[in-house]
Amino acid sequence: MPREIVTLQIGQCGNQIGFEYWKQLCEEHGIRPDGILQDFASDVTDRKDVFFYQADDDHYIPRAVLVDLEPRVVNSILNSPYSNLYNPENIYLSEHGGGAGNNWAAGFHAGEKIHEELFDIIDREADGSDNLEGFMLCHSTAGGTGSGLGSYMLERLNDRYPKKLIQTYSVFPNQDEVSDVVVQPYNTMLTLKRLTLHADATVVLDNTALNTIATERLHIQNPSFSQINKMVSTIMSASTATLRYPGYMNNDLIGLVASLIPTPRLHFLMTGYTPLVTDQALTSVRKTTVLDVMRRLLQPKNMMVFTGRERMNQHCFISILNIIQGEIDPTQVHKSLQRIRERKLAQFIPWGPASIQVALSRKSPYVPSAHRVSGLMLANHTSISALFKRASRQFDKLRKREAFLEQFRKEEMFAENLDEMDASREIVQQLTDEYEAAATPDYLTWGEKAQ
Amino acid sequence: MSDEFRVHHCVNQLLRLLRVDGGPNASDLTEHILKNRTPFVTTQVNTHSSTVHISEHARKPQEFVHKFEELKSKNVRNVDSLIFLLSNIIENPGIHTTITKCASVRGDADKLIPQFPPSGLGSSLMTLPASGTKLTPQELIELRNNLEKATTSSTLSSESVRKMLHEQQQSRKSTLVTPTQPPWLIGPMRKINLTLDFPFNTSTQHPINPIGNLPVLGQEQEVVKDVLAVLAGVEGRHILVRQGEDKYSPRRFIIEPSMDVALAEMVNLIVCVASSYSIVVNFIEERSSFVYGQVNHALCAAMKSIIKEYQINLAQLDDHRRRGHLTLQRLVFLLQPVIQQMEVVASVATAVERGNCIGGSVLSLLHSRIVASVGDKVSEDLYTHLAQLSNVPYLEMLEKWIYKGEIVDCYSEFLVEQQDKFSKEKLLDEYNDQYWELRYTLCRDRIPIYLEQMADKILNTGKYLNVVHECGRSVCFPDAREIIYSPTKKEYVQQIEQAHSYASQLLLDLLMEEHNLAARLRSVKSYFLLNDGDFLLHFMDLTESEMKMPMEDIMPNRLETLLELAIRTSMSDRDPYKDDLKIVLLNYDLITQLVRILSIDTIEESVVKSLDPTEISLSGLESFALDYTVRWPLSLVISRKSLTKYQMLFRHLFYCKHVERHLSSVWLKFKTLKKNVLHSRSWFVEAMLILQKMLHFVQNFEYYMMFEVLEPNWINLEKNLKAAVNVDEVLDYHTDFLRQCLQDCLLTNTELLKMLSKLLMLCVSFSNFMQGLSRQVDGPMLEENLEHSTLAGPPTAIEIQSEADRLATATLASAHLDDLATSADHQVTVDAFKRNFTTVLMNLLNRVSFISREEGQHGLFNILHKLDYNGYYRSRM
Repeated sequence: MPREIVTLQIGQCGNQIGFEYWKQLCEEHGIRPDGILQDFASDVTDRKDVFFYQADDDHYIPRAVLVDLEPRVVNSILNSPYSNLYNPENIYLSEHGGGAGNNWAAGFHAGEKIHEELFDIIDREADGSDNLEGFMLCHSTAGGTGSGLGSYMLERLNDRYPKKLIQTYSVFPNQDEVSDVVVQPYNTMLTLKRLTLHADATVVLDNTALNTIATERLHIQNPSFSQINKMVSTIMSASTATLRYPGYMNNDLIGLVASLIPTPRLHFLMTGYTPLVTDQALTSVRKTTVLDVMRRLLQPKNMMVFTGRERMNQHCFISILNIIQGEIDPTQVHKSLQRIRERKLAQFIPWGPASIQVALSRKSPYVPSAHRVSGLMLANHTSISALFKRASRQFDKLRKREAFLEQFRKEEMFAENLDEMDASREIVQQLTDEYEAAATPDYLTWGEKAQ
Repeated sequence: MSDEFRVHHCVNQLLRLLRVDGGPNASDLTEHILKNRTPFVTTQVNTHSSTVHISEHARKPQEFVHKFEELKSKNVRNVDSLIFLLSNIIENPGIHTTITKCASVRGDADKLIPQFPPSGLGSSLMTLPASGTKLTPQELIELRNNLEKATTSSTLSSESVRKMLHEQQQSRKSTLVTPTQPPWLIGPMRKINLTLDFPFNTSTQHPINPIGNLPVLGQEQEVVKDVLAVLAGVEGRHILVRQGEDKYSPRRFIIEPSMDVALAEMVNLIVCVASSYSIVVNFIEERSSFVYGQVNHALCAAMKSIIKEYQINLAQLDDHRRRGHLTLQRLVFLLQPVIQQMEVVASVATAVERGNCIGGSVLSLLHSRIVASVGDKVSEDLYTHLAQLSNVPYLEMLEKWIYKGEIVDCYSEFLVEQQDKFSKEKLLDEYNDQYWELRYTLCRDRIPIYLEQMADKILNTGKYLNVVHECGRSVCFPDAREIIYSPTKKEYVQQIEQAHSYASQLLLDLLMEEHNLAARLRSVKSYFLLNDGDFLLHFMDLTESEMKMPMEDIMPNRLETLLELAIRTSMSDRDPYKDDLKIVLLNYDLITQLVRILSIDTIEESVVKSLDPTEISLSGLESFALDYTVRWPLSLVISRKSLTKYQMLFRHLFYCKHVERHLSSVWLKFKTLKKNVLHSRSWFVEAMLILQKMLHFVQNFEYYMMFEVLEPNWINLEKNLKAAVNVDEVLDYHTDFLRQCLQDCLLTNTELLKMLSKLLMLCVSFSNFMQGLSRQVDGPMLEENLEHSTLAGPPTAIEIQSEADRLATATLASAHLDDLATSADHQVTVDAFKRNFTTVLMNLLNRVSFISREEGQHGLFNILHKLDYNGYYRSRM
């Protein structure tokens, strides 16, 4: 009776990273692009059934639902070698094929229209599992479909499956460069509200940081989408490693997530991964010891969220979970933790016990790696508030000028007023404040003061 | 292992006898002694200087020397080491005064007679570090007592000894009956003249015939005739024979006083041979009876052949006499070599009889005689001859044992003894069965000296072969050669070594290759130590309702089915041994079980015992444990004892997992509340943070146990198993592994255990409180899923906690039960939980840090780092 997890991929970005993710999982479990298990992978001890189920002809089908309002990305998936991997019934393409036009509101309302068809698929998947543990949602917060339809799905999922976990992998737009999507700040803000209120754990993937890491750490001049997506899929697969290669601990999603999130709203997790490699594989092979990996994971420059470094020292970790993969002697982990503790390499909250939790997991035997040890960090860090502040700032800039609101006003939700926008802004402000308060010793009494 | 216990026992006895209070405790002393002792060098102590030393200090040196000689003559074991010890004590004034003081304190010392372990004198003495300098004064008293016992026992008459031996053998070997001898051959009913010896006990006494009236030449004729008769064990007419003090003291000869003085003197030179002859013949006749065992029989046979030679010699002399060639002087000359020969044989006979030697000790005696007679070619050869022949049956037994693993020993002479009451079948179900330790044991006093160094190897060799044998495989040692005794060439050492290495390899291969011990252990580990987490997760999902039921209502069959289902749907499906996993429902929970075990030998024992476990109804969760089918010979390693330890670990981990699950489910329930503005109800935030603290505690404690205790120890065990060269090492490593795991998981410290169980209990009751709350907060929507209420019942270990604790728990429970109506009440409850949890946790941390500092259990220190990584609790202490 596996604790199944159903993956929902929404929008262009969501489907792209989802595609990379399934590619990665297939490689790790020795599943061919058409879903058939490779001969060499027949007698390995892993759990494929958390993310896959087997069709009548024994081929593995991902528990994935692909949703988009425009056909381009999904079609490219269907033209790839992996076209037969997915269950065709689980692919939903909007009939109009027009997309959401980068408009959150359009995406959201499209959701209302296709609600029944979508939940037919999702209910079927949920009923098909013995003991569904939760949903994984991949989307971006910038465009129209991922943010708008994604937000809609979050609300509905939460109503429909209140006891199931909803984890999202949310890609935040690159805020360094001028985006071609001018309403991006609106979209992000409106999505953030849903993420705050309806998601149980959000893994924040910040395109700003991803790009910086790609250029600075991996020395790629102009990182392509596929290179960035590759990084994201690495993170996603590493974060589910303990579910797929069970060991002593952390064999279910709740076990991973519950201790990371002290109060329900503080559920925005940063990630870091090391060592990162690219397809070009020109990066020199470094010595990877457990200490090395854990130390590097704590460095802000390896974080996949850009938080601005200037205020780092006022912020602190609420919780950390390191998923270390490879053949590891647990005593090494112990020593590394001691070292980090002695050197005070990690700053923790003053109002409660916190530690670097470590989950040890095996590595896939089929994916060759030059590194002995690799590590993923999932951290709840108060400096994530920088991201929300940045989003708020950009939102405020546009909102003050009431710029680019015509598209929104066309939709029902904003036809009469823009209250929803301001409500979202309010929620995000609360969230920001709560995160900032969490960095101070009097977090416990923070709520009372607010009253 | 058993040695260790014996030493510990002895030390304890001594401490009690000497009323030593304070100072080092018994286990420290034991450890010290065990560390410092050198095995089996007891016989190699040079006592000469020691005796000289003691006699210098003694008040009555003569008496001492006399007593020493007497003991030596009786061949009492370990006299040498005792002497050495005594002289050491004299040299060390500190010890001397201590003992004197103790003795005077004790006053009537004999009131307290120490009780010896069943293995008795020899073995308890053997454990002393003979040449080690660190002898505790306490040991002296015991030695003295032992010695007294030994000396008194050896003065028993041979008659009663025989009877005793016979009875012993009869009782021990009910299946193998020693044949009895006809009453006319032995014992008081013996036919008087049915002997080669002088018939001492005859009622008819010959009168002595005067000879003085004959001329000297005539006298000589008569005397030669008489002497030859006496030499052959017949009283002469002019020379009468009287028994000495006992059967083994030299005979007295009465020479007719009127005999010519020169002749009488010459007769005196010769009659000592007759005396020896008499002793030897007497020995042969007596020691040939069945009860004395094969070694004595062989010795007698060897002596018999010497006596036969001697008799032929006499016959020839008589022939000479008849032809008139034999004068008394010539007789004396011709008998010269015989005199020494007979003396040697007689001395052997006397020593064996005095020491009441049987089996190995006879051989020891002969061996030491050979060693002592260096330079005296004749006696050395003779001793060697006797030793070689006496060794034959013993070495045959040895061959059977080390080449085939069988014991054929109907007279209990062999150094290894088989205890039938320990059978391998019991290994599966009896916790305290000590098959491996006690099925075959060494009898220290039966080991021939020259084999002492090899004794353990010999024991193990046969033991290993025996196991292979029990597995139904024939054992055949390829280079089985006859073992021959030789005082100088130590070929047998090499042979034993070879057999030992062959046997240990054979058994190791059997266990490791054929029965796949490593894979088995891995399988046991993956279930009992939760290495396969997904299996456990599924099992807990499946059995959620069962675990809540009272134990009596659970259908074991259903659990069994669910277990199988969980295995089939998890990774464990690939485990080839999965079918051996079973479940059991025990009628005591883990804490009770552990507290019981831990309280053995403490004052609390009676308190704990008086609690009847059946009074408390256990839930499925509390009574559940896994079990595993183990078959011979793997049951040697994974015995009931080890399995029980695995079970304890399992139940401990299982309970922690359960608590974690419980807390997680609360987390899941309250996650929806983020839609509301949380901080309007600040007690709620507090509650979430307590939940977080508890989760943090449980998860980190689990991590500590799994990755800092179990896994490193397991890796160590695997490494050691690969390097192990014999099964004893394998067993030791495995036992060590379990002991270390239990200790570091805090299962061996009652105090810590209680705190731990209290913490876990707080977690469970807090979860229950929150579950109840979720009903109130969110109305009926979440109601259906209220769970685990039966688990609120505090673990039974609480029973033995102090009254105050019980009251606290009671108020908590009632506070929880009284439905909390208002927010203020919630605040109070939440505060109480917070206070309680933090206090107990900090106590635990304090205690752990104290223990790890004071007792050097550095492993425990890791708990501190794990549970309080950011120093949150430390800053509050």
